Amino acid sequence: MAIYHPPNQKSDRIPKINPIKQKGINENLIPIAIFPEQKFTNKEDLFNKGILLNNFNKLDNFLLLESNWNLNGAEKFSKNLIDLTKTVINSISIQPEIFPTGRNSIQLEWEKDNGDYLEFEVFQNEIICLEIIEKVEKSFAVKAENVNSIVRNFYGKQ
Amino acid sequence: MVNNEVSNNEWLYRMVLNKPNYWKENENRVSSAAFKDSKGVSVDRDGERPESKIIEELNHRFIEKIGGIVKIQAGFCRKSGAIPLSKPEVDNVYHCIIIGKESVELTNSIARQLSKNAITVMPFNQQISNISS
Repeated sequence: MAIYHPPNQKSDRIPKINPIKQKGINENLIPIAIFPEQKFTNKEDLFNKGILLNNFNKLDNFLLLESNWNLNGAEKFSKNLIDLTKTVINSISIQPEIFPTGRNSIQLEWEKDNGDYLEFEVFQNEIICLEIIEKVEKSFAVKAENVNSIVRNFYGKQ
Repeated sequence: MVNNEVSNNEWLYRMVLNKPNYWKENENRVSSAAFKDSKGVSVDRDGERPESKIIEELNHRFIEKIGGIVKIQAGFCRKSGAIPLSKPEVDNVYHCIIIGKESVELTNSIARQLSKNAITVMPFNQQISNISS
């Protein structure tokens, strides 16, 4: 089966455009068969599902990192942390960029062209949000079930 | 001999791994996740060496792992609320760590400031080839 690797999303544009046509993606490569139970309302949904799939793959790859993967003694990631992060991103309508950290956490990031920034650092027992909007910073703990609403607010969606 | 005190005008060089990828293509810089480490952020100070030599040495030491190199000035770290500390190693007298004021780990805000102000000196996946051993 052809594997679709979505490009890095220009995340602040997602609500405004049809990203598939905008980025010239071959629609035939989108893995519809992977989500047979779901009906997609538009190509934007489908595009986000493609990014979600890509993010799942990234997380699975983090699980393969051995102890000391960062050459500074970082621990191996636990399956529980990876599963928790998958649960969080599965609930999000606009997918983030994902990075591992050297302190046993997974970072989810969104950034707009104007510098506004949203980040969640997912630890095993807590999620810390950093929000920078018009250069005003806020940092606070959030529950997993509230992440999507914060992301949607960041993009002005209700 | 390298002074124990890291001066404000010294540059601190951070080797960023090739895998996992920390590069944000849209923003053309590294993620702040590359500045989050429970043991402090490992960097090499310039120690009055030319930048080309620092880049060459980092490529040589991390030949299989290096993805890119960024630098940040020690004075900026202090201004942001972080502390650059000299921590020489047996095989690397230029080694330093960047830590927080209240704990070794940097806050999310400080990590973000460092990543946003870090200058890329070796773009990602453009490693120096044919390094002499």
